[in-house]
Amino acid sequence: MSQAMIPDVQFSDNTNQRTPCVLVLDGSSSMDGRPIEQLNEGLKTFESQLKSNSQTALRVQVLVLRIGGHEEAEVLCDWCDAIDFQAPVITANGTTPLGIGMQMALDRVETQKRTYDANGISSTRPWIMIISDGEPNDQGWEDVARRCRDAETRKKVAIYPIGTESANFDALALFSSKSPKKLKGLNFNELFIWLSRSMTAVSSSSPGETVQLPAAGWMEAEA
Amino acid sequence: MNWSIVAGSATGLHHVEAGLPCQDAFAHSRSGRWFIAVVCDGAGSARHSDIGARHAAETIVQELSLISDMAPGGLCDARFFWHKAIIASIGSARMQLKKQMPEQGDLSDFHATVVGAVAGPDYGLFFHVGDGAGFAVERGHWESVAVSGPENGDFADQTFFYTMDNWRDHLRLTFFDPAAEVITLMSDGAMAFVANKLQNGLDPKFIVPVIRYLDTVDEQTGSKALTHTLDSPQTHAITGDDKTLLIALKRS
Repeated sequence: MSQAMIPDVQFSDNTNQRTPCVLVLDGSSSMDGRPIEQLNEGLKTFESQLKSNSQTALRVQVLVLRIGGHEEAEVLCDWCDAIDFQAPVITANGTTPLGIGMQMALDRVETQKRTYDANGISSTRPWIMIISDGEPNDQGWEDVARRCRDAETRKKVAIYPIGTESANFDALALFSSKSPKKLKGLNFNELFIWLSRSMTAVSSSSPGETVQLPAAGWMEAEA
Repeated sequence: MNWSIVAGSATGLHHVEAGLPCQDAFAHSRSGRWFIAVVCDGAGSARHSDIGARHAAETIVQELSLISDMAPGGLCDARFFWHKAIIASIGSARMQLKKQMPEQGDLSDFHATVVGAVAGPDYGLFFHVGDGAGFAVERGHWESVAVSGPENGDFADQTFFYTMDNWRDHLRLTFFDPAAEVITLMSDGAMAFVANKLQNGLDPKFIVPVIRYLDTVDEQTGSKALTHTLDSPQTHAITGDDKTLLIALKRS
């Protein structure tokens, strides 16, 4: 008996913990064609990957913002548990108002944190993923970028800027304390598989733990 | 008063896969009329946190055991006495670590949380720095007589450690009634399935069969079975973290 488990014990996952993940996606005109098709395919993969792990599906919450049009940021998918996430379809037209998009992301993260607090739900640090093929061109984006870095310094968020070949990496670098990463070709699919696996690791982590993220095969090697 | 004590730890799959040791630790003792226990959880981000956790658990229990017989019966005096004693024991654990570590070492390499309990004939108390939890309950009433819950920073992945310079700011003491018959201490990895959803007591689906079983076996057998239970595929499906649970049962 001593080598066996205690009989009749039932295990519930009573954790009230959420892992928020925001996608700020570039829907500007330059993304038209294969880039936007691949991005949309990647989002579908993200949906299925998140749902394939029951713990991730219940703990991760997703918010998707699109930037484009005439200096617009729009919510394509408001906060939802990963289990309810439906990949939106991104269209490509207009400019790259990354400042407006990131300000919206920071505001929404703060509001969501207040909701968690009010309901006694703990949460891990929110991730904000920026995916862009260009450079920010809205007025005042530099101020927002400064606020983003400040929020990172205060450990309010973790921001990951990711650019395709044509992106302005110097500009993307201003939004985060981490260097921006370059996507290998249009490998959005692999990027979203990595993101989903990373969310699984973060959502099952414990306080103070440094999470070992999966290898980033989607990323072009850095010089 | 007689306490039966069982405890176990299981290494989380995240740590197994990374080739890391279990970073949780526990220690307990019975000293005269007193029962003393500590559970520590080493921070995953600190390279020697397993040592920091083990050292704190053993040192604090040892030091408190030495002075427990001097503890006053009245609650007013007891608050002062235990506050001072706990600060001294954690201070001693920190001091010993500093002496042992290499010159270029840093206490932050040994980051660990501390949740402990002291129980005597007239009262009990939890002492706590960081996350993990302590629950004191009466049998059959699984919502707690007393709870010492986790203290996290802005987010669940931030907490506080006895190895931080400002650890005293985060030391919390929670006294409880001697009516408590079951005292549990746990690392945060075990909380997901041992505590209830509101985290104000224990989950009956877990604790009732556990106590029913522990009532029928000796401490050694109980501890082994508890360890196997914590190490089961069901718990690993819930969390990849290390899991430690210590249960003290009052015997008449």
